[in-house]
Amino acid sequence: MNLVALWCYLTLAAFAAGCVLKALRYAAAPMHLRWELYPLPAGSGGFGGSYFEEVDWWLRPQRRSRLAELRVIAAEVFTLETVRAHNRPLWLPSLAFHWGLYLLFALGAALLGAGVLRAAGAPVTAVLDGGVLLSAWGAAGLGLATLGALGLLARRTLEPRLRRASAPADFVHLVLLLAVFAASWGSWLGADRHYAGAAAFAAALASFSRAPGMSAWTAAQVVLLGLFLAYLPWSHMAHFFTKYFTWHSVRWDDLPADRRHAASVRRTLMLPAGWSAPHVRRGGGRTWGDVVGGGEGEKR
Amino acid sequence: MPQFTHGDVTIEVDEHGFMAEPTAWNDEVARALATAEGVTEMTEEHWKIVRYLRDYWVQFGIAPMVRKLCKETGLPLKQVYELFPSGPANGACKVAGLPKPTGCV
Amino acid sequence: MSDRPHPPRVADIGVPSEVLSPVDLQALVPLPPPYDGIDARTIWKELSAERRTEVDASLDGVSALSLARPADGDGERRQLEALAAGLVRLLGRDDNWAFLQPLLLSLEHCTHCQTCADACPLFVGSGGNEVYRPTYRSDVVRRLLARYGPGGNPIRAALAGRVELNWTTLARLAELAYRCTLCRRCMQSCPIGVDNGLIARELRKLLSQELGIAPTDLHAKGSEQQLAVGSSTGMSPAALRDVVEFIDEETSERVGFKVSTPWDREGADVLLLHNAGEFLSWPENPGAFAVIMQQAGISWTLSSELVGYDAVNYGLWYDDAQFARVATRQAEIARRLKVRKVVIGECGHAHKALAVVADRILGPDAVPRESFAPFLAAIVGSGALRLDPARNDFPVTLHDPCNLARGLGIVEAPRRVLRAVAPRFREMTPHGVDNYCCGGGSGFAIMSPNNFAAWRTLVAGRMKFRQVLEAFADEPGPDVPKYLCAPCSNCKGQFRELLRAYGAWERSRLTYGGLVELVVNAMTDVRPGYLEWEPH
Repeated sequence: MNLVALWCYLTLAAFAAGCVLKALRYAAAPMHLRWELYPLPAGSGGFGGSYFEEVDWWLRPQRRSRLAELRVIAAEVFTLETVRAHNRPLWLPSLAFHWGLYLLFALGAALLGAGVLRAAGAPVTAVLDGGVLLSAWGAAGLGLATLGALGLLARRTLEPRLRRASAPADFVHLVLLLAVFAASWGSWLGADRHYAGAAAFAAALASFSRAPGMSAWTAAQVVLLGLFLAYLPWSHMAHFFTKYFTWHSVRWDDLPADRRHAASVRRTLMLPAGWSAPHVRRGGGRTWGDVVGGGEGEKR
Repeated sequence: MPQFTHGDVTIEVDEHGFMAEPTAWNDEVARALATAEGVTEMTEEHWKIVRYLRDYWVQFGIAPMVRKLCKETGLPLKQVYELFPSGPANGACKVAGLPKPTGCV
Repeated sequence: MSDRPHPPRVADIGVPSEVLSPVDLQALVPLPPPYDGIDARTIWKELSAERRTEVDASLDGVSALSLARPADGDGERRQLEALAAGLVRLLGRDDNWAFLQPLLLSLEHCTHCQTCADACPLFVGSGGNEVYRPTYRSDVVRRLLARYGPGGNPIRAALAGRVELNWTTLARLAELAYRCTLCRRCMQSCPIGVDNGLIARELRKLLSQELGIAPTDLHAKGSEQQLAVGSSTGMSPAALRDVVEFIDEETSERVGFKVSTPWDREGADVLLLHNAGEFLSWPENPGAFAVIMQQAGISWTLSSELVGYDAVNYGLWYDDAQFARVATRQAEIARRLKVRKVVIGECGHAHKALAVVADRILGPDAVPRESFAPFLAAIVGSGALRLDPARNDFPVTLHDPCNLARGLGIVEAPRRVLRAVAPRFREMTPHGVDNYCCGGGSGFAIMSPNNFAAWRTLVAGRMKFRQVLEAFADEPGPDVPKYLCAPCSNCKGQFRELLRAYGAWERSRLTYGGLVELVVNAMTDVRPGYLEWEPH
């Protein structure tokens, strides 16, 4: 097995493991107190989807619409709706960038999927062996992503307030990605215009067989891409899946307290509260239950 | 803690000029604080307001509502402002040795 | 923007200087005439040189915390160690189970796109003062965590950016925690869902629960006083009874029939919970509630038990321990009174604290909590009150309190009421869930140390004041009395200051008040003129 293939296995595994670990970290976090933000996607009550707009809301059935939630998420994913509404100058470069990435990831997934199917002996359309369609697909994705990334980098570098407010990571991400894109252009233009090589490489990866030789451009592309993917889950770019948590678990979580919540709070009240300030420690106890009970207050 | 001095009177005050130790108040202190409020001489009406505020605070621990002050002393709000230019809360209460009101008031 | 030297970078927070980012009075967002002629310096209050030696104001020339530099290096070191320890606790499952997930999500996913900056009323209203940028504060926290927090390492620190953990950073960051009203417009506009307001709040919590640093008006004379004496205003149950007795008398005189407040009535349908400041500052508000309850035939009661008559819960803004203590007490009182429900009066943060954030702590068996807004809307809609909207023949606009609109989604209910009792109602722009904060949120309205009140009036409230004026742009002059409806005690406290500082009564005949007063003013059973048109 050549080094590039090994690198691919390692970085893809790292990417998958990173995403899973990150997701678990959030999913396994303690039940948090409600911190929702209205409006909610069309739900039970009045205007902002809030049951608080109704009298005796606890006597009425809770109405929630998964469909409405999905519609909002779809708008976020496909049209970057919040960016469009609140930051128009950012919207076009960001939209191009994201759509380019969507196309490229879809391409990568399709090639890998095809490779897996072939390894399993299943028939796969010859389109995914390489050809004009793949070429156009790849070029479109790469084109949009590159234009978008250049636009984003230009804004970040040239607009004083953005430059001031950026962290080093923000530039590193864009530069790294542009390096991936540059290598990809080199690969597409110089070595593998119809993605036949990519398809063959994917098939080899999937069947753990010897990968065909590749040009230096393609090798560079694969190496840089792997590096980027392995790093991604540990950066804010993980928002591609953590947005499930920020939106669904926090922003839209208006569930009234139920048995599950009560059981969770009973547990957390037994946890040790380590904070040092005197007013917290008052009451002498160690647990959160003690802290809550220690509230006599001091008159000044 | 800043100090307020006038003549023989020296007391500790908070950053807004209210007494830090309200229990250390007496008539002498009242006259002294009044000068800082632009009141050179305390008339019967000044004392009427101050006594009412003081008694209420001693009994209830807070300053009375402005409306009640006016009703009980028989002095309209306009006149209270004439007597204590900073007003009932920032002027008269300060002279009466009350602590600064807290909370959404 | 003005031509002062280059705006500070995040790393500059730890670089000692007299003032990192002074408030530029020339850069404040302009107001419409005649207010454009007001010199902001007449409202501003500069700290004296002497005061600046006693307290730290090196962030922006303002001091909210009266923080004094420790006398020696040891004292400084201890505070810095406490800050570092606090950072670890903030990310701990045991120490911060209540907000860990939302906090981690906000800390780890900011792309610095600055969409939030344009949404922030403090940042925009100040004319773009760099330190009021929502991400500025959050990034100091992120950089500290990347360097000194759990899981901090050199790579993360390099990617996050530089910051130094010294006393200058601590003092400025502590002050910076109190330059955000937690209005959450930033979260609303964030494409990813990062909540800079939450980070500010958690920072306040760290300072309070680990270092014991919190504004006096929120803690020592706020939540502590509420727990010990019964109310954050210092009003004991005895004082309360005296005050409400007086309010009943006054109200009865005003309306022309006897109005009396029931106390501690077990088994009543409704326990009404007011912000206790209403009794003292705006007695016509609880008075109006009493009139409405009585005329609509509601079975209701107030509580005279400690904490049972004060809806506030300042801990919502700065301290989980105090928050939980107050909320559980309030719930326990409701339980013992065996009321069917608690109706929260016109206090914004009380809604969010008791109905939303405390909900999971109180559990499914707690007495349910409802907002006055739908409660009032239902009464008005039922026809139980005979109303003549012609009695409210003056322009009215509505300020949507942040905690009601973005915090509970209550937008339509107050408007149902206004459509019935205010024929000349007009909306502000933007309104509803897009409203601007009054500038008094998160406790600012009750904080007045040093020159903080002046800052709050001039900077924090700037966008809102402009908005209010624009809502009445068709009838701006003092010949037309106009009413700013603000159903929230803290907002009213802020508006009182804003209108007074800008001379809005003289210039525009602009006054403010709650929603219930408008309803009572329109009741035909009530003697005309419930609303008094004078500055208050």
